[in-house]
Amino acid sequence: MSDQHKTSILILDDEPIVSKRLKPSLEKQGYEVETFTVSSEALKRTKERSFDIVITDLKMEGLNGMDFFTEVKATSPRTEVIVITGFATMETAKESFQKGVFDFLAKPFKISEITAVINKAELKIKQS
Amino acid sequence: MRILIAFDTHSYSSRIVSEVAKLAANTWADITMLAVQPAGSGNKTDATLAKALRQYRTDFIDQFDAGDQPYGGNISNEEFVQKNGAWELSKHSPALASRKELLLKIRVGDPAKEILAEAREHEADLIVLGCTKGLDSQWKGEVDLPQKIAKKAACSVVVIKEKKVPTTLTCCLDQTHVSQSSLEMINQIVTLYQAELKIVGLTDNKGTDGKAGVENSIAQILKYYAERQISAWIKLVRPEDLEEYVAEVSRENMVGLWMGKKSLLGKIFSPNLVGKLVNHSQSSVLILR
Repeated sequence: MSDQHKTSILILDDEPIVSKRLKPSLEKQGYEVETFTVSSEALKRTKERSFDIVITDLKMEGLNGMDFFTEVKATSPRTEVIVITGFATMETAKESFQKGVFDFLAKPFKISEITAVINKAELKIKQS
Repeated sequence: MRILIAFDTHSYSSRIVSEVAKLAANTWADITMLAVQPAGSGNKTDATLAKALRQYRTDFIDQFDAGDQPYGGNISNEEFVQKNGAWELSKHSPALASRKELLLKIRVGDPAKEILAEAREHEADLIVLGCTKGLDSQWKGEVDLPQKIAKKAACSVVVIKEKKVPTTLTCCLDQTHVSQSSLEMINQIVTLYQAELKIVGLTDNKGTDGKAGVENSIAQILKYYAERQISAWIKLVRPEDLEEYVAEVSRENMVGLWMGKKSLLGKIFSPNLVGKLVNHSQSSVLILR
């Protein structure tokens, strides 16, 4: 995969261990990955440049994942957003899909699981 | 998250459908509903098991509001398809490609071995199974099947003993080594039941940490929950008192034991003691890995 065709992914999770686990694995697979633990910093970055895919936690201090999703979509409608959460409820699952997130993954999840979802999101982006 | 639900045709299996449906409604997990039929039953599915699995699927889907679930609708005339020595039935539609899988599967052979093999091959995060209530844990007439699954599974296991919503989840951890995925599984179970969380740590890690290390590890766990607005009680127990403490708590509350590879609890709770806990617990048991 050449640099100019790399799929860009932003990961936002206030638990550093999540990005620490995902970043090297996704980079090894050829993705361009930026990680954040603070939503305001991630939001600032999305204003500077667009990402193909955003992976965001839901429950965070400050701007929560759903608000972050809304902001990202307002700036870059073509970005596909994957929500990950450690405290999943029926309401958050429903709200995620009603608002148009690409997929919703409850923690814990395997790297292979999120990779499969990223692949589907890439496919959707290419087809659109 | 992928959840493997092991079913037989007994009433405790039908009882767990609604609980797993609630967990699925929260997490939108991929689901495998598994039954195991004995070897030598010919080249066809056991009709009773196949019918039961179809009914469990219908009951599972019926727990969701129409159009409000990611698993597709009810199945009608679809048949089980033989695949790699097992039978599978999955409703799949391209329109639902980004949604979740609900797979019915019948494997052939020894139930415990097949359940463990399915969990391993499909990288399940959680195995759920029901069993008889009280001081006995039978599954399909086998006294020790829930024990075997709890002892040998590589992933987390919930053995649901009765349909009673736990008000408290008491989790015994080795606070120094507990894995992130185990903390995450605890969070999902606490969220599911809206249960009070009690974390039980060990007072003495015999030279690995010392008092300061214990305090630091506990402070980290408390911080983790405080930041997520989850109220967690912390209790420290001496390693030599843990077995008795767990036995006492399991009479009333749902108990979780972190038995990951690095867990010091593995030195206190031998696989046989884990099996004994599953057998003797009056409530549901969560084995975390």
